[in-house]
Amino acid sequence: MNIKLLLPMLFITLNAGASTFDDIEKRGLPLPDGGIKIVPLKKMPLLGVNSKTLMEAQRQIKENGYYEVDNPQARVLMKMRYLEPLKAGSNNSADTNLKSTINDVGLAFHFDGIPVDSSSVVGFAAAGAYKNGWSGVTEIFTDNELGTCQYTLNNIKLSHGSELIPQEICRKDVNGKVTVIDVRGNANSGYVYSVHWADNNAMHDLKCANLLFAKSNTAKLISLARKIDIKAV
Amino acid sequence: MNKYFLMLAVVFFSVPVEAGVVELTIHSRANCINNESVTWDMRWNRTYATMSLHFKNIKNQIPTHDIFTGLEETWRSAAVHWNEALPGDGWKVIGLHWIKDPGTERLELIGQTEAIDCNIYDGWWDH
Repeated sequence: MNIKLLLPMLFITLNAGASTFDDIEKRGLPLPDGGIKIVPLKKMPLLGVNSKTLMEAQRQIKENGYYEVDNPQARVLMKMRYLEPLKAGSNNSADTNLKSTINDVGLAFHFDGIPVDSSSVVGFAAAGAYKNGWSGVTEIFTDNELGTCQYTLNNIKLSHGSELIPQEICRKDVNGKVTVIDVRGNANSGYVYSVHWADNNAMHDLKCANLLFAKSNTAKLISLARKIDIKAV
Repeated sequence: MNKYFLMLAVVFFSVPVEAGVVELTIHSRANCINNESVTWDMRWNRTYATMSLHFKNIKNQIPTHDIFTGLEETWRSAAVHWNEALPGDGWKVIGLHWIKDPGTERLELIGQTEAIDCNIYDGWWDH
């Protein structure tokens, strides 16, 4: 069922006083097929938005290239280059482990992989929801400068995904599309360079983890994101 | 007795084998002893919220009730009504799955899921 058809009915329930949907609406959580919305930080809904930390992180990223904080994600991402993908032909769609080939993942849409050298690809895996195939995909690869990287695509035409992005951190680096850049870590944990971008077809995340920080990596990451975007859904 | 073994089998197969191993996945299950919607990524804790809308009859347009986890930091956000429905009981479940990126405060609806069966146990990948 299309959730859009459901929502008016939910309001009926809510008027009867029995739905948490009212709370969600009041809090401004993004709804299915709600698109990509840019919202001033002070109007971002709910849940303890820590605007001081966010703006401090953005200040540090602008001045130093990264936000200095221990980042456990970096350790996990860096280890992912050592994952052994399942052998080709392991095409059980229910299995979300890393696969050798994209054809084994069982996607609900066409995806050729990202424009990197095939020898650098560690594997592919499912992401998102399953309905006649997965609505999302992830690809893990390595890069001599960027480190261990992961690209994830959420096909929002299929998943009905949407999002709210704080205006203050919104950029247009990736082919003029809504873009968010984040670089955080320290010498202890390593660093994660992230670029998120979105349009009406998909939300994209490209992350690379590296023990070392180099300002040039962020520019290289954005450059790669542009190439991926051109080839994507 | 048969029903007892059926319940045991369903509970056994309800372990989180569908969890995203290398990336986030979302799903719903219906008539699986539990009716539930789950958001999960085995790699690490993140900030999720999950809502599960449960319809007593698959033709119903109005949910019989819903369950909302609220925002929680976890690797597995599960909106579950335990023991609500056995296989064949005719419930439908729609799940809504959100993630908040703590670094940038982006608030994302990852997607919605829908189920009318027990999925793993019932061969959800064939549907």
